[in-house]
Amino acid sequence: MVPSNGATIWRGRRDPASPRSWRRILGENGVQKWAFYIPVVFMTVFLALPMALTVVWSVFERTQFWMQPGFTLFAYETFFTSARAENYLFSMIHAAIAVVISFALGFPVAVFVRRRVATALQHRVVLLFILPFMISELVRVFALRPILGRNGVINSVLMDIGVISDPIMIILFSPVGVVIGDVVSFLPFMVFAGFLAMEAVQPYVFEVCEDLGARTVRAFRDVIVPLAAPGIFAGGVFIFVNSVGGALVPTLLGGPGAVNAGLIVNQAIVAIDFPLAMAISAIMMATLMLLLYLGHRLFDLTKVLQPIS
Amino acid sequence: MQDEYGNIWSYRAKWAYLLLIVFLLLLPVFYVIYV
Repeated sequence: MVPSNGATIWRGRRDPASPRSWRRILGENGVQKWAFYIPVVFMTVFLALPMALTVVWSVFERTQFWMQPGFTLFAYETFFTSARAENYLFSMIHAAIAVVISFALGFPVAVFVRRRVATALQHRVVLLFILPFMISELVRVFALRPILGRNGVINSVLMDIGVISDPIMIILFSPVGVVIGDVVSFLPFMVFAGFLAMEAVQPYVFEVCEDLGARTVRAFRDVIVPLAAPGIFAGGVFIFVNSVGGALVPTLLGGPGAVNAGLIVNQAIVAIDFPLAMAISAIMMATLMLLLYLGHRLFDLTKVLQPIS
Repeated sequence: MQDEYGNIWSYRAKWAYLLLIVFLLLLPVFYVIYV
């Protein structure tokens, strides 16, 4: 039997595929209501759960090829009583240096684009910084070897024009090489974050600075940077996290003493010491969470997401 | 703060700096293509 509205009645009930049923499934009390929980579920399954498991596994007992349930702080003891703790500290210092260099090189670009480039052109200019991502990071970082190496482009050019007589060896397979690799890999993120952060600095702010007679350096230090601080911090954290945790750059450009936390974890996994790898990851998570907390207290990171009124 | 377009060379220098940074970031890519 087919009623006038087109839905089929099947044993006294409406066909589940009738328009009204779809409305019930997709309506405000159906999928629309539960769709809001999808991000929560996603973050729980793919972020909170792995982080919790990292901490749990870090206290498991190590077996020959895997680990077994138990409670031991042996992995943490191994970490803090070996050279790994020192390397970890140094990797954080190198990451901080990479952040500072990226800020010094990248943020003025963001200020210039926001201030001097025509509004219609601004996003296109920022898109220029996406160009390096058109090629894999692995290739980009690996290609730094023939550039920074003993007979590389930089050394050849400097020796040809007579600036140096012997090749500079410290720029590859050293902490300096790792910092250069981090800056080359992650500098665009500071430009993007700075560009977004500069949205908080409206053009009239520059005019006010000018009217009050502030010089460029003073206006930059006392007005622009404090206003854009949340965005700058967000960009800085992004570069810091990648510099500390990414094993790629120190693998290709690092040498003796030039490792980072990601590489230490990688080495622990290669040595089939999973609790140690988990312990280092847990320490890394704790460090970064502390950093984010401090940043939030200082700059109020919720401002990054707030629209400018 | 200086005049917006008062010094055209300062404006051009800033553009040159921006393009230099982009070029430096792309240098490994260019080198790979060259090799």
